[in-house]
Amino acid sequence: MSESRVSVPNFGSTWHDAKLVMVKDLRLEWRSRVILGQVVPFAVLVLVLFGFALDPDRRVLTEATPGLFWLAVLFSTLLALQRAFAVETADGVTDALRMSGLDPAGIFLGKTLGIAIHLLALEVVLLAGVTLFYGATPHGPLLLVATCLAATAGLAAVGSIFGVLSSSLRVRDTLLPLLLLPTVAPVLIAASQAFAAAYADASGDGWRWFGLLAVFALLYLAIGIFAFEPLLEES
Amino acid sequence: MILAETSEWSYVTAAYVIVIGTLVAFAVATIAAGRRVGRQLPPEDRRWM
Amino acid sequence: MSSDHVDSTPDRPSGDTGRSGLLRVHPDGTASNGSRIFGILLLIAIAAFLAVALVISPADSGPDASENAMGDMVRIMYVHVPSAVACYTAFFVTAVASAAYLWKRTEGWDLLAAASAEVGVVFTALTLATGSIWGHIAWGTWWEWDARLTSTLLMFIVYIGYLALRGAILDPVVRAKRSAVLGLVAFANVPLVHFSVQWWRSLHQDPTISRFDPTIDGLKLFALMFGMLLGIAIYVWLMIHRFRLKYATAALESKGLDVALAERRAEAGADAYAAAVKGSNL
Repeated sequence: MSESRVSVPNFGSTWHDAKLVMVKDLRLEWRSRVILGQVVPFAVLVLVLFGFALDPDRRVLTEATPGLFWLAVLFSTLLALQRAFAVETADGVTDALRMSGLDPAGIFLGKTLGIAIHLLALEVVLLAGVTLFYGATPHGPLLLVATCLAATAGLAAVGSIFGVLSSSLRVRDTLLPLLLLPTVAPVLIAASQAFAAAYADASGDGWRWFGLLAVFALLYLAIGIFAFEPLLEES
Repeated sequence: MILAETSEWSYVTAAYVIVIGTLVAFAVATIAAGRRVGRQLPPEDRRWM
Repeated sequence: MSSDHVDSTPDRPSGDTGRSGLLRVHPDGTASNGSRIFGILLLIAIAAFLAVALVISPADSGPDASENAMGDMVRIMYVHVPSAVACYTAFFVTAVASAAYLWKRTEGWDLLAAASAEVGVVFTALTLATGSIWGHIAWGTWWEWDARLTSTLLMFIVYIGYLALRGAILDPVVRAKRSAVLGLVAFANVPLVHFSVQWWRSLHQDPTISRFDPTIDGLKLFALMFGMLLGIAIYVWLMIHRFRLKYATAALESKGLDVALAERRAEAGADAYAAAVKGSNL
């Protein structure tokens, strides 16, 4: 056991395991369509509610677009995570994954990838949503795409760490937001600022925020790769 | 000026009362809980004694 | 002041009970001879600190004061900064103990991480409260989105979540593993939050406005240093007792006696609730 803990992951097999887990999660989503049929509509609803809360005045909404966009993403992330890990515990899939002999780092990367793909799809819909409802025309496409990718990687990595951390607990649904939201506060700040720079056609200022997002994502990917093994044991 | 000083001291007093009061309450609660738990534990299990 | 039956607790003024009982350790409690002496020394030090901080040291005013002179408000710094130092120390110890647990997998490291986090949360609350009082004078508002204050608030919430996670898991091994990972994650997050808030604030305002630190020297510096050492010493004392409490609780639980459970249920409603949770969780 101690040797498996310190074993350097074999990248070929880790990647293979990650793909297996990711394909499993995507297939599960394709069959159930919970993200597509429930979480995405919820995210659009959040955008509409922000409109009610703030003003029909487009000026306020347009100005606040970057922050509102990422808040909607965060709330939807919570739902997506609860969905992703509820499936695991309900059917004992976590046990199956643990017993399967798959590399824990691979399981982590696979879960993260699966969540990230769902979130990216969600962000595309939300981007169309803010353009439609708030009249915020996207600028600086390169920075927008880069920010979405880096922020999503960070959110998905933290999400799968905390998802498995709180899995199979009775208080999971209340504990997950309490842990996740303060931890991803840097993502909310950095992604909103990067978006604000992109929308203001001042991409130069936005790239350092992208740098922060990249550091965040890499840090949590590294933590997840090493921490998933103790988390999966006997969980 | 005198009024400003009085109100300054009331902020200072409030800060010190909050800090000392909280720490004392926490210490008392910890000791009380320790006695409640310790009473149920046979003495040979209390290794710090 | 009502006292327990045998002797005084170290956090009470020493005149409370008989002279003979001052150093005597309660047979049931979490005190040892060492910690009892430590506690009495701390009480003396606290009295000395209060004298220095509130009476002996001068107010931050007069001819040689800096332009940001805070008058008597500077005295809040003598408890605010030590609280902050103590809470960061506590969470640093939690992170180190969490890493040590993941490496060694022995129960003691897990208990140390938990005890340290509990004390750290208390000190964080004190840091926020005194910082808010300070800000009310320095900035004119109870809250300012200052990088240090904001990142401390987020840290506070994350560690409340850490304690909530510990409370939600009843299997000690699973609890230890998961909270060790969270103890590391939570600490790694602190600098990230700090830097992002700092960058974020620097966009909107001149950072010097939010850094209203008076220059401190002489007796004022001594009061601050004394406070910091005392804060860390109080943290250590509290942490030792939380650790022993956790150790005793764990020893009691590992006995797994239904008798003990029944006793506890009779003694405290909260414990009965924990027992009920144990039945249905995991």
